Amino acid sequence: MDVLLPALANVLTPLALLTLLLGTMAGMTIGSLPGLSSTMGVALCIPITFNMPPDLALMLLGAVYVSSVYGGSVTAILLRTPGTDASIATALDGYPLAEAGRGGEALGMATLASLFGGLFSVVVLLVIAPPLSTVALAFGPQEYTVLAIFGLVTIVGVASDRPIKGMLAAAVGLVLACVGLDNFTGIQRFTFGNSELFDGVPLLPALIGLFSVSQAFNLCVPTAGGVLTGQGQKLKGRNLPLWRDLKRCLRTLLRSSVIGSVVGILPGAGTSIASFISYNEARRHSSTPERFGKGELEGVAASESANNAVTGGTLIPTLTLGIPGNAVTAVFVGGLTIHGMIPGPSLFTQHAETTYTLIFSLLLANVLFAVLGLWLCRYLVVVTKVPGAVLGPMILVFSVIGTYALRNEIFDVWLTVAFGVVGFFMERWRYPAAPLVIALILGPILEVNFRRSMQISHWDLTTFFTRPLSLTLSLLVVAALAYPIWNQWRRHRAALD
Amino acid sequence: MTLVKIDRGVALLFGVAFAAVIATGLGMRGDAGVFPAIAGSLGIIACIGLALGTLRSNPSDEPSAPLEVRRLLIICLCVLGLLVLMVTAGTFIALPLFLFAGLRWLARLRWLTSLLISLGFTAMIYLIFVQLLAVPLPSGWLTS
Repeated sequence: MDVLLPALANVLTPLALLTLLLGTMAGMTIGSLPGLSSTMGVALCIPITFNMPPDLALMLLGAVYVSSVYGGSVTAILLRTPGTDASIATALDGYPLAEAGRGGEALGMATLASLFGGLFSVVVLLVIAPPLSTVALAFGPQEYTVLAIFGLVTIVGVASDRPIKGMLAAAVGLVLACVGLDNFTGIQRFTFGNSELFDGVPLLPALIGLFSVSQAFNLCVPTAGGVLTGQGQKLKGRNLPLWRDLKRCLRTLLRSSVIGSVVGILPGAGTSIASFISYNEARRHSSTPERFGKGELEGVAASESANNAVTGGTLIPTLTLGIPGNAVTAVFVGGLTIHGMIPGPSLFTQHAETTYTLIFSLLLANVLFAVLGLWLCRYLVVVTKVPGAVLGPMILVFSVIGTYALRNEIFDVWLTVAFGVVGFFMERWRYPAAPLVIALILGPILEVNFRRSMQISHWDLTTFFTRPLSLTLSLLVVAALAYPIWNQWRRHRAALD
Repeated sequence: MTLVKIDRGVALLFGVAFAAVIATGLGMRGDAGVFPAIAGSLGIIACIGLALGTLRSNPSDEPSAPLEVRRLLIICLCVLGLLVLMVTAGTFIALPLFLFAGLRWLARLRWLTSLLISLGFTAMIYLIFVQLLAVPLPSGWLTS
């Protein structure tokens, strides 16, 4: 309680409110632009936060994150072009509703559902994270080793539909994580005598390169990249759904928010998975399943509440254990570390006030995007008419200058561009970038704790199975490894049948 | 080129790279090379898996999406020019030139529109990074 009130007061200062407002508007705009992702939005904002106080910086990043997930619904409904992959399921019913002249109702439902899901997940974060961080205080090197392996296995097995390519990307990330001076012996590893690499491959240039520069290339290279064709549907009718429609969707909203929060906690699973699971569940439980896909408000409610419920869920393992579950939280980890905050239980002890400020600010950011969304969503569509080849060079400039601003090193800028080119080809050749980034973050955690465990146990590998906590986590690793194999076997059987 | 052929090339290239990582790791003093060797082994397994996957008869072998080499070349040259000019001529000469080139040749905007957007966006970058965040952006050794 002694940190809750100061944290709440921090959120309500005029500067904090202005930061949240700017972050929310930026996030909504980025989210509504097809081709620009939440990950890219957060990555691009990190350099701006460099000189800000940590609490304001995290507020900005949090507001961009939650509002960009919501922003994707606007173009999904009015143009059938989801701004982010989180809103693909929203387009299934949102666009038919807009075609039928009920676009305002669909957007209103998307906004209220996003608000519901977002608030629900922040409450879950507020309730679960502190006790989980207390449990995490009991973790030793063995537990952290197994936990890092669990994070890697799930991101490779669950997040990517091509596990082998995901494994290759993760292996590249682990090798890159070895670059620099070894913490234990002090010898140089893979630096090729380059002094800029003595501290390792800098995380933020890698993140900005893989997620922002590669997207800028994607917007610039195709002739018609990023240009939305057609006028889209005009907003007609009421701006809010009827009360009876809201009441009808209440059960769906609650179910989808629970699904979204749970999916968010699991490493590897993302917003699009949550919204599709929720959409299918809503259809399965509906008395009129035949109306789904033809313009059913419940479909929009299910998808949007689930994808926004993921946001708070994903922050639970990130903040309490230091294990990012997806690309956007990996970028968030980068944002925390440049402000000297190491993700993990220490966030709830040493930096408790700042952490609770972030959590409370997420509540407010959800309310802000809902208010702004109901008011401004019709104007957001105008932004999406900007051609990709105009946006691309601007994003490149922002990425280059932003990367330079982090350490004032031109080397980092070259590295960012190099990672951008790699990311561009990874996307074209269908290699997932998320496992690479998460391996780059988890690599040092894994190595340091693995070597400590080995030193403690005198190279006895059974040390990971003799402690109750590490044994439980090891069983989770086995389950995470078995799941993709079982899934593939099931698909193979289905194909044979 | 099809995705299968690309995967085969990637498997070969990275297989060699991971083998080099393992060899280097095993030659390191103390236990410094253990983790690189483990990561390299994981990579080798992934490369073998990827290569084996390409050997199976794959009717769904898709061609890679066509790449507009000319546009890719333009953007790469523009970025290269931006980075070189940032260090030599200074950030606020490099930025408008880069933006103007990009908007003119990639977005095919009119001369005047390209010029106005380039100058306007450069002014915004100056305000945010120099005035607001006090970042010492490179002024260039030619101009300073």
